[in-house]
Amino acid sequence: MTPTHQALPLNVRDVVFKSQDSMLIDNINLEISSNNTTIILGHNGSGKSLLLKLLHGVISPYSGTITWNQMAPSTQQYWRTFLLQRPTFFHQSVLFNIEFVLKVANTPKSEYQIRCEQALEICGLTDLAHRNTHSLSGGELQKLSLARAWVLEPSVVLLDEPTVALDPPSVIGFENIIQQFESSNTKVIMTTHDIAQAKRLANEIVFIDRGKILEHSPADHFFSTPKSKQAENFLGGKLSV
Amino acid sequence: MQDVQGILLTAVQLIIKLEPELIEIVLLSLQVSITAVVIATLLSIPIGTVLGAYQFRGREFLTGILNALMGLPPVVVGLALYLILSRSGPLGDLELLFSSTAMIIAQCILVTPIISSLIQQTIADLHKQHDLQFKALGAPTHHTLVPMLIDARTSLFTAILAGFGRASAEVGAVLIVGGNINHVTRVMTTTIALETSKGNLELAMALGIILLIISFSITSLMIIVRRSQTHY
Repeated sequence: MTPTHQALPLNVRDVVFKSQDSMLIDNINLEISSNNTTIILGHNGSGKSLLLKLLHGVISPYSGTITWNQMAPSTQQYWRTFLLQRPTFFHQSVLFNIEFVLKVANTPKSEYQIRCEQALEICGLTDLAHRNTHSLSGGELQKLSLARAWVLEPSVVLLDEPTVALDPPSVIGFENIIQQFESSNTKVIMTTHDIAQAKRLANEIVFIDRGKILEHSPADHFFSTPKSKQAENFLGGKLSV
Repeated sequence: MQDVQGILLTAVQLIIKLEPELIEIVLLSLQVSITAVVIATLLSIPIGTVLGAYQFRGREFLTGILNALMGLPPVVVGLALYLILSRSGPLGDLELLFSSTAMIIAQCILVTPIISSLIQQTIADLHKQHDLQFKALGAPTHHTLVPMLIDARTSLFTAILAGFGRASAEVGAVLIVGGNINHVTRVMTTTIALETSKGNLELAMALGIILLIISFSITSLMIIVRRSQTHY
């Protein structure tokens, strides 16, 4: 897989997202230009998933701007894919679900076979290609979600707490595939509240709390010397309300 | 009046002997209802799918009308169709009144809202379930329709069976537009009504038993189809 689209830099300027009277994303500014793995870290309900949805374009901000290489996000930019925390699939074969994505992205049919074979192999689903999705385990479904992303050869992959419901062996398998994305020059942006996972995967950390970005720094720096009290409490396992 | 046991026995004998009159009526009934349901299904799939999957102005209104049409009184449909198809009506020249075609049209009018509404609800539920995923995949709605219909095949089949059950049990509208003419438009339900009023209870009972068998078969088929979906 060799992504061809130049997606970075990502620029987020004064972004606000409100729901009724609640400020869920509070005037966020962020610039990401390095092509390594960014982990958005924070408590449940801190706004991580919402920020990821805004970055992808499945929802639009109340105010402010988001640009990928000076281009506003829209859902039909197939160089950028979004893996949901609870992905859904058609109750048809694994292969059908992967081919569906290629069809949606108007990929030439001549490329279907090679791309699907590669995605199935990378994600360890080759033997399950013709199995119906309703007979797959949670871990296999998340791998299928990754295969659906891989097949598009994306420049950016956004993952919303993809391993939250997986057991440790499945998490390891999943993280290996995420690292394959990074090795293929795909920008990975992933949310998690799992500190150990963030330490394993992150090159840089965006720490978010109550809809505000409190820190954006290299991973080593963040874990050794967090600047904010909230991040310090989070890393120390202290509960803050 | 004969005793019930005697009537029942004669009715069963009529069925076992495959009485030609009985068979003719059953075959015509099935032909009318199956044709009506096939046409209604062909109309209902696009109607239900569009109303279920697309968001547009007036969707709620149209869905409301469709749901209201599910409760259409058959005799009113029969009367309206009678006026339209009668010699002085707008489609009088087609000379369809008191024909099996008129009965098919009547059943189709009654069954289409039922099948459409069930499909609409199924597709709307599926679309809601996949909505965020479709957005995340950048999948325009038109790409998702066929896969959703394939996923919903069991529910679609159930909707069609429900429509067939409704059509085969219909009496009011088909009686008005069909006229219950012997060897032409006489179907099971209208024959049961006529023969009961004439006191020929054996034939009425035999047709009643067949109608019940059809109804139970449909219900059983629906249960089997549902089970086949849940037991992988």
